[in-house]
Amino acid sequence: MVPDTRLRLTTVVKALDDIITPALPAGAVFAHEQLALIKKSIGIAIEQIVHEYAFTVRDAKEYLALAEALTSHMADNAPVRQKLADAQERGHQIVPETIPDRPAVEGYLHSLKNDVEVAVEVLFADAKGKDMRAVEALILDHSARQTLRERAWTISTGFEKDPASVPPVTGLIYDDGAAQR
Amino acid sequence: MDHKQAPSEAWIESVRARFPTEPTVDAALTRKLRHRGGPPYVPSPLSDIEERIRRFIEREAPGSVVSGVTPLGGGASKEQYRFELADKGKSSTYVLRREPPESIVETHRLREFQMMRAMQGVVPVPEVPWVDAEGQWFGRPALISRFVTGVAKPVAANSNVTGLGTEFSAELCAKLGPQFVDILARIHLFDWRTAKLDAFYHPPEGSTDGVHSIINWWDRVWEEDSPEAIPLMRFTAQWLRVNAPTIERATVVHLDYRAGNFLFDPDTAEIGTILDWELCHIGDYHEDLAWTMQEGYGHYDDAGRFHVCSLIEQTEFLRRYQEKTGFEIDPRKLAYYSIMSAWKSTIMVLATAVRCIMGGKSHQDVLLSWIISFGNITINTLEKLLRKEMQHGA
Repeated sequence: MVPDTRLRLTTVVKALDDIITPALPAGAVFAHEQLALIKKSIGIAIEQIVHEYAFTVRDAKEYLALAEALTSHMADNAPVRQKLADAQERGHQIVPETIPDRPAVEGYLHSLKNDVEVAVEVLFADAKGKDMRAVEALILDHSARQTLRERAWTISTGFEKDPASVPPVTGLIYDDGAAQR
Repeated sequence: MDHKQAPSEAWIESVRARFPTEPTVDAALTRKLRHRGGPPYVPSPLSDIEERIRRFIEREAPGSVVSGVTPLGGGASKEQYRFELADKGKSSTYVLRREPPESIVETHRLREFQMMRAMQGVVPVPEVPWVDAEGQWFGRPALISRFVTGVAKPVAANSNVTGLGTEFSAELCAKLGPQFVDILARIHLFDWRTAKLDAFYHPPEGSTDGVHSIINWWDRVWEEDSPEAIPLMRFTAQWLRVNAPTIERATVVHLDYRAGNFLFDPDTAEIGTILDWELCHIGDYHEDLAWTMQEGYGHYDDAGRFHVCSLIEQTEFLRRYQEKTGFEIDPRKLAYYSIMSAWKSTIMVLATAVRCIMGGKSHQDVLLSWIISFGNITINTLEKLLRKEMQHGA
């Protein structure tokens, strides 16, 4: 996905620095204060967004552990015990076992994409007839799915001629196909 | 940081060797790579721009007086400043177009300068008295042209950035559409062999050499700028090489002839200026037709008919073009160049624009980060066009 959210926000800060800040009158003190806060807030978002999901998962795991520990101290017939037990069961279903490492996945994906691109080049040069047709179909089908996700992701930019024909991005990225979240 | 963000001299040389193309294209791209590791774009104080213009004019037009230097909006790729030049009581307005450290397309100012001069009197184009091709005077390569009046889109028209998706009324279409075709025809009919265009490669007719030069140019840009690999892009490059058609009639190719790149008088609807000549080259006129007819630049009406650049219905566009030029339109070549157009558009937005903002290299980074999403439209078109060709057994 390009640009990712960090890069998109980085360009916003640059426009604020290069264009908007110099255009503000020096006497507009409140506006300057607000602008400084806006830039700092965006800067925090740029730094943290990559780790935000890992933070959430770590939170969930810590709370799950606490819930388990508290449960062991409750009487079997305590009304809240069952509620906590249910929550733990649900937690084990939806909280990943290991903390997701987004930078590692991004690095791996970058490298995998390069390997695939080189493979496509080699296959195009080597494959003949039937093989070539199969390779073409694989690439075009993959591209169709990838492009649809990208279009859905950036639909708010307004470049789609028929935005209603593009499904919600959540329906394209979650395994359960949830259209609305 | 990937190796492309601070490329080594050895890597630059390997790319140059792998993708041989026109000398001035090579010069512009190599220059870009050698500067990539440098600092991000920082706006120059207006006083600095003013001083540079003054020193330049002192040398080129002694006695003339510079005043009123003002930044101009618009222009996704180059910085633009307007200024007045007074000489013997007569004042004229000019525009300085200066390259930022990197932009959505990396081109050579000498090419733009030569082509705009060649086109004087052929089609409406601003007069270009001066070029600083190497950036000796302006710090970075720059070009000075006469300021021209006009609008790129109707007042209060709906459009996305850089004129993409501009909506014109039926009345305006009726006036602008025919002019739009006629000017394109005049560009293609121009006898470029009589003009001073030594910054351009002159591809031989009856050969695919010129097409391969274009493919190498853009495949090189993909190699240099792409932030992430996309298998379809290299697949397309290979497909374009294998299926390259011969250029039977070499013409000037504007390569960004579309709504947003011409100015018209809002009162008379007369097209007064054709802009953005920086991607010009000598090639096959089908390349221009296909570029202009890209889906992303036009719209389909309720009857399912496509309107080129939302200005003129496609059948009428092609009929009038043929009538004005007498050129044959080969549907196979049009299909080929449609694929090439979608591929090149995708390279500009999903490779160069991204690379540019990764380094914070332009005055329009926030606009570029917006335009990048247009790449999802062009790559979708590319996939559909290739699929159609595969079904036809290409």
